[in-house]
Amino acid sequence: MKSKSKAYSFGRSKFAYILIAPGVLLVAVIFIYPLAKGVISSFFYQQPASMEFAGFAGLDFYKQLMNDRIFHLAFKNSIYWTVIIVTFQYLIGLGTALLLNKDFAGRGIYRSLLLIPWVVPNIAAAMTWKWIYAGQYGILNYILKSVHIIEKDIDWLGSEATALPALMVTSIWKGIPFTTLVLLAALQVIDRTLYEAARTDGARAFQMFKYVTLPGIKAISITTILLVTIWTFNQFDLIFVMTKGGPQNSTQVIPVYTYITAFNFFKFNYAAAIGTVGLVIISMVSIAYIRRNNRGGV
Amino acid sequence: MALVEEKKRTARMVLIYSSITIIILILVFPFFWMLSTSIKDKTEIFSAVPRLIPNRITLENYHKMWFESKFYTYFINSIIVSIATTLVALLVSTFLAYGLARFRFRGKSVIFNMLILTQMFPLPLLIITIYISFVQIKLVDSLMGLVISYCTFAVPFSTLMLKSYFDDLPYELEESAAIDGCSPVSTIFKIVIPLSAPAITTMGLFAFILSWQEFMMALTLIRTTEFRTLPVAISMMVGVREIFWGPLMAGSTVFTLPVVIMFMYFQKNLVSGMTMGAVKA
Repeated sequence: MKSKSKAYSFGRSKFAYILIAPGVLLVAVIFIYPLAKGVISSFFYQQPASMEFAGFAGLDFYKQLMNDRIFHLAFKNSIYWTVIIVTFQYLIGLGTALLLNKDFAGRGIYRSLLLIPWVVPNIAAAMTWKWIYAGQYGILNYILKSVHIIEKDIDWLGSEATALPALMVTSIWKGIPFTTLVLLAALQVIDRTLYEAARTDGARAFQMFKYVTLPGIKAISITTILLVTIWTFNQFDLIFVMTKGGPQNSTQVIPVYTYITAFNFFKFNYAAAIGTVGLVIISMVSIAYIRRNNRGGV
Repeated sequence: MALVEEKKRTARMVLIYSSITIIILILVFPFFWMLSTSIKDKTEIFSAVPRLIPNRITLENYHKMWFESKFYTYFINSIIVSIATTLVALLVSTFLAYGLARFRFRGKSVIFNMLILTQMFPLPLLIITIYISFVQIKLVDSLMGLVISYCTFAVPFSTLMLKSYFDDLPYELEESAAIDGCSPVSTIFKIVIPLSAPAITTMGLFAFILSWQEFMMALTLIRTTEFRTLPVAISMMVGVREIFWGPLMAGSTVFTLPVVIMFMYFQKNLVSGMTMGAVKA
């Protein structure tokens, strides 16, 4: 990123190619090739057993998508899923970062504890939350019943109305540490004298937040939101393990539907079409991210 | 006047403390609930009044989880795959990152952006073709196949992390080594790698943790229990009619603790590593 390394060159570009060749080849073979082949296969028919190409399908699979009720649902859910989670994860993360940015005793311990949701592996988190949400003996029902918010046990992951919001809570819980730590890092590099200057000018807390804090974290916020949007849209583990897209596809999203279509129904080419739609959506966000990133220089 | 100010300050402090405490308690609760369930006996797991700290601590869930399934096999498989992926990523990424950080060549920015993009593409689309190709070249149901497929995320991630470290590393030492007649290869091994030991360690930890918890590829590419890894095994510990929460939480704990301990121990490096990408951009 620094200009010195940009201007500087060892000049032995042949040696550079030797250095990068293994990595680039590996990524090309295990990433670019399968991805390209995946996209291409959504335009072809294939023999189910040998996977030989068996004819040009054109847009047939995409036309089929237009009439696929589950795909419509997955598409809609994916949008809701991403927008709601990113919003809450950012806002709660910002609130937590603002609190942790204050000077108080025990801040270090709080910061360490904050990491826990992020470091618990997806599958362990999924299982634990499944237990928390359990209709029978689940701790969430117990807590809500004891404060009289609900009267009867709810099977949180088993009913259509609650499954998606319940999964969203788990995903937000898992993501809060990341947004908090990134925003906290951003808050800590804001020039303290700006606050003092604002204070001598008679600015109140809210004004300081609006005119000093927010502009100071704006750039990082946008980058973080783009990254979290991409990760959230692509989220697979939590949903697949906790509900498999059910009940009645109420938690179906594009990544899970892609996977199930391929590996439960063995419609590989149709699945590739679903995955390609997801790829196109996420590419728009990714390109925005890359363009921001490149402004800093490579 | 001073007293009012003082009172206001105290009230503010109380407000800050109580809100941050509530947030942190909610954030850590599931983890401690997992631990707590794992050391409870069956009657207490299903008691009408659940307690965070059990009346009687028992290790029977751990015993069950470990001896009544092939947990040991899954555990060892996970360790093998994670270590192998880490080593491959270390080897390949160090050179790739060094090449990207220190040299100018054609297609450099394309490669750099490709590496960033690889972390953003939806994996299910990728795994379809990887699976079909692996069936054809007989890499399904093999730990080596899993390691190769894990490079899809481990190599780009490690490379980007290391590259940004190399970017900040002063190059004068390498330059003077070159003047002294040190060959490029031995410059890397004698100067760059020793200087970057902390960064390389951090990157290795990340590669290990990412591989340790990877689920989708392991689920797809491993079809027999003999080669199954921990995340997949735990996701399948759900019984047909009844879920045995005790052993399940014990398994999840054994699966989670190595990661939590690593993180707490290397907290500084890992946190800066994880936030670096976003903050630097």
